[in-house]
Amino acid sequence: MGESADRQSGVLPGTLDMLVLKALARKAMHGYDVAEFILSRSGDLLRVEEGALYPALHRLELRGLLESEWGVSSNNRRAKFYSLTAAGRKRLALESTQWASLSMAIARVMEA
Amino acid sequence: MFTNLRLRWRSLWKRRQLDRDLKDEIAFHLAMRQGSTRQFGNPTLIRENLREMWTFHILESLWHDLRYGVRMLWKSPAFTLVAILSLAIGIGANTAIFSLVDAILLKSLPVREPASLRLVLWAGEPRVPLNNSSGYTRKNEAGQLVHSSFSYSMYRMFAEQASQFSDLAGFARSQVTVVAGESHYANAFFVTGNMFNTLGVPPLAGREIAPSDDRADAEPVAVISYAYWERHFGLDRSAINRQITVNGRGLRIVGITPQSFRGLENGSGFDLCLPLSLVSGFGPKFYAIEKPTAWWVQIVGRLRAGVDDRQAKASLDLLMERASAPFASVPKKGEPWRAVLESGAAGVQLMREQASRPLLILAGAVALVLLIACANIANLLLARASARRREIAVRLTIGASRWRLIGQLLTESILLAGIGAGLGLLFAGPMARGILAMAAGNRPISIQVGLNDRTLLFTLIAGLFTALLFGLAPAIRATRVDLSPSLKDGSAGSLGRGPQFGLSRFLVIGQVALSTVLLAGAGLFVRTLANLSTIDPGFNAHQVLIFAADGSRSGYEGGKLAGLYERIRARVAAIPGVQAVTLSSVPLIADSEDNDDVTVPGYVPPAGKPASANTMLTSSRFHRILGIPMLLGRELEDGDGPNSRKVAIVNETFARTYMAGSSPIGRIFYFGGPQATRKPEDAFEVVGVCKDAKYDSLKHVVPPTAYLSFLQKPDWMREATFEIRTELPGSALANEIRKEVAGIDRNVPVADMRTQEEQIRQSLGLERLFAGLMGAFGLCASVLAAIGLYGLLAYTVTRRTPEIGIRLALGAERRSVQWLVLRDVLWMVAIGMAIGIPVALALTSLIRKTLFGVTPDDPISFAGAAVLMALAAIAAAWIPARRAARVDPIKALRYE
Repeated sequence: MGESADRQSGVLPGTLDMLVLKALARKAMHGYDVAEFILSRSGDLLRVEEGALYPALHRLELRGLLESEWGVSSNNRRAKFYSLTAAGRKRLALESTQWASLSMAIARVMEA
Repeated sequence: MFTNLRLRWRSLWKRRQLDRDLKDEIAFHLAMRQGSTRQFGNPTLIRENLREMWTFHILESLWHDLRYGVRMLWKSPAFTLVAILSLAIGIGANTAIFSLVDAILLKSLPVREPASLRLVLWAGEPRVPLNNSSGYTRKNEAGQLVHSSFSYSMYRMFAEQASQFSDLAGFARSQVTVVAGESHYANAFFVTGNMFNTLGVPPLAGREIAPSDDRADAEPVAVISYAYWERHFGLDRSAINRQITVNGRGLRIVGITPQSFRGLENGSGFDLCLPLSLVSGFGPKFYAIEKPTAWWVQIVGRLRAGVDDRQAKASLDLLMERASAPFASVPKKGEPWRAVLESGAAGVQLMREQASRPLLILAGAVALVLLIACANIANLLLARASARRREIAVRLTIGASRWRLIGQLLTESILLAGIGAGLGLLFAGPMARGILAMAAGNRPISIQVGLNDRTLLFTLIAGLFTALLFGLAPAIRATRVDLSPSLKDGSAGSLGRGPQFGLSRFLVIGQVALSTVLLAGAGLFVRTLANLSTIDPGFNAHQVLIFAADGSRSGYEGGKLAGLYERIRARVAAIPGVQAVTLSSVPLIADSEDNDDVTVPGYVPPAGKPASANTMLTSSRFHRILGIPMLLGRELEDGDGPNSRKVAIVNETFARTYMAGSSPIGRIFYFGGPQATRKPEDAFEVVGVCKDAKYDSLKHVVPPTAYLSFLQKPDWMREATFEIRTELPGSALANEIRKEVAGIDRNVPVADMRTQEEQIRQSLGLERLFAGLMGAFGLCASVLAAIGLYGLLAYTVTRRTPEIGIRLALGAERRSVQWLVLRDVLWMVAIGMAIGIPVALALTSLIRKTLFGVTPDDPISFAGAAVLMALAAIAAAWIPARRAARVDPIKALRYE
């Protein structure tokens, strides 16, 4: 299962999974809301393509980091809601710290 | 990772739900996004990508390919049928031969850790009088002459002192007469008390022979084999503890061995297993426990872990040296005794030498058949591929990958091979057993031939290999399509004379070549059988019924034994319908012979080649009853009894070889070499000369033979074969004969009743097998080649219809058009034969030893093969050629 889907998105390679996990950290959402969440929180900068988003969601589900449930959306349609599993939370925590130190390090280099 | 597999596995079974979910999810997203100008991309592609994540992609496409393959095969039933049948024959025959190879040459004994078992043998110049030996002597792989048997005292010494072995067990075998209900012969397997422990074979029921049974004062007990239990006790458990009479003495059955265990000798099995200590009462007289000159114990041992063969051999050599001490007085000559260790994993391989050559020949033949079948199917596939050109071109244009298509075409091939292999398996078992039964003739062969994991694996590999062989090239060819012309839906004209056409011709030529090889081989074997069948045995085998009886194992010996046989002869002769009865010490044409050195006064044998003769002890009028013509003198008469002068009838060869120059009548000879002591009463006087008659085999040149009266040499007599001249069939007399013999002594069984003609036919079992099988294979091959030719020609004619139309329109004669097609065929056949005949010549020289009366380059066989092949080819070409000649030029040209 290729990570190559990341390349299609507007996000930094390797970070899509982390963003998706972060989006789902607060509550369960369906795919559209995940994309909207990332878009709005990034100040309309990170536009996640569907062609990358859904493979990422399914990949994380297959890895046991997410679980899914079919429910009814706010407009009364059948929709698939994703939520974090325990493993998913752990992973998010790990990736957050790694990202924090990495971005700080990069920032220092770039400011020098 | 585990969740991943579990989830994917689950989705494999819920395909529909998965499809629906994926669709819904995407649809929901699209609905949410309505009005937005954002691009979604290709929803179907996304869905496909997601689907792939959830499923075992390869498995899925395999499943698709399989379903597609079944549909395609179903759509062309004629092709499928021909392909599957020829594969079933090809793979089935290969599996059958392999299962024989497996059973005879490869299979290990069904014992614990067979790899650490060793057979202990010895090599060197025998310095003991080994006429007291039993077992076997043969050349091993190193070209060394090895002997199988030791004296009992040597066995004891080895067992006690050879510390490299955790166990050494001894064994010997002989035939015994059993009375349990009816009397019959049985194979006895004598073993030391530790045998079953050494091998690690647990009893099926009751117990095994234990060390406590192997003592002189122990109760006589026996363990029976599963086969014997089935045959004589109908698998009844009450057989255990039953008392039976063996060679006239009582014995108790204490256990039954498992079905898989058939003793240590591959091919011969056993009925009763007795402790070795019982050999003195139940075995042949020369199996003597205490005599150091009686060499009859064979030894099998289990090496201790970590001991290698060299160490074990070194210590046995030392013991051999010590064992030779008692024979120090015998003059030494030649090599000293040396121990020889051979692997015991497969037991004693008595059949290996006899069987490996025929098996090799058959394996070669069936491999050729399979190869021809492959070529045939490859050709049919090529023809189909051109019919499917458009389909394939379309699929390639809309983006299917070439590998995917090759995979799909190969799946079809594997499917075909799989079905063919499955069908082949059905008849492989019966075929293997049939071959074995035919080759064995009337010798019972105890071998379990059947499907096991090894033969199944072989079939699987053969099937896959076959599929690749016939499927790969056509698949690669089929997918190498020049897209544009193929899509423009070809009239026949668009299929140019491509390279594919060359491959077809090449395959057909190959088929013709291989078929020629098989047909030539078949011709040689058929001629061999014909030569053997028309050979004059030198006696009249017609209307002769024979049976065997052995009183020597029921307590008779010497004069009493002769008396018993004479009484049986007289009683059988009195049965209504019996014209005459005689008896002999050896059955005729049964591959057994008695041979002795002779000394003929006046004849000086060349150095190193002592005079010897086959001997046959017979009752009076043997020659007249069997129709062996007398040339000089008289035959054996009633008066030639124990107390009268010893007389002999010799055959022509004997007279010519040893008594040339003067009339043999009245001359004398002695048995034994020149050093043998002889007394006047040992002299045999020649009273008659008969024509040469075949003795042990139709194939052998008749050796010098002497016929003696069994009454005058009763100590040489053991089993007797009775020859009955009668017009009645054996079935009509069998009961009567049994009754009469039982009336004399019910402990003497009647065995091996058959007609002399049956005996001769059975002696030709291998030749009949070869002629039959090779003939069948040759015919199969030429039919397959004819089908291949037909397919290719039919296709060519279709392709060339416009060209033929033009020729006809321009005034060509129909005859010359026909010739056009035939010429093509004859070319291919000629090239095929030009390749096939030299190959056949090279191969048939390998089977020289198996032939009789024909040379491996026999012109009749080769010409026959060529003619048959040419006829098959012309028959195959006939219909296409006629169709070509009937092409209507108007119609043909209208297509253009």
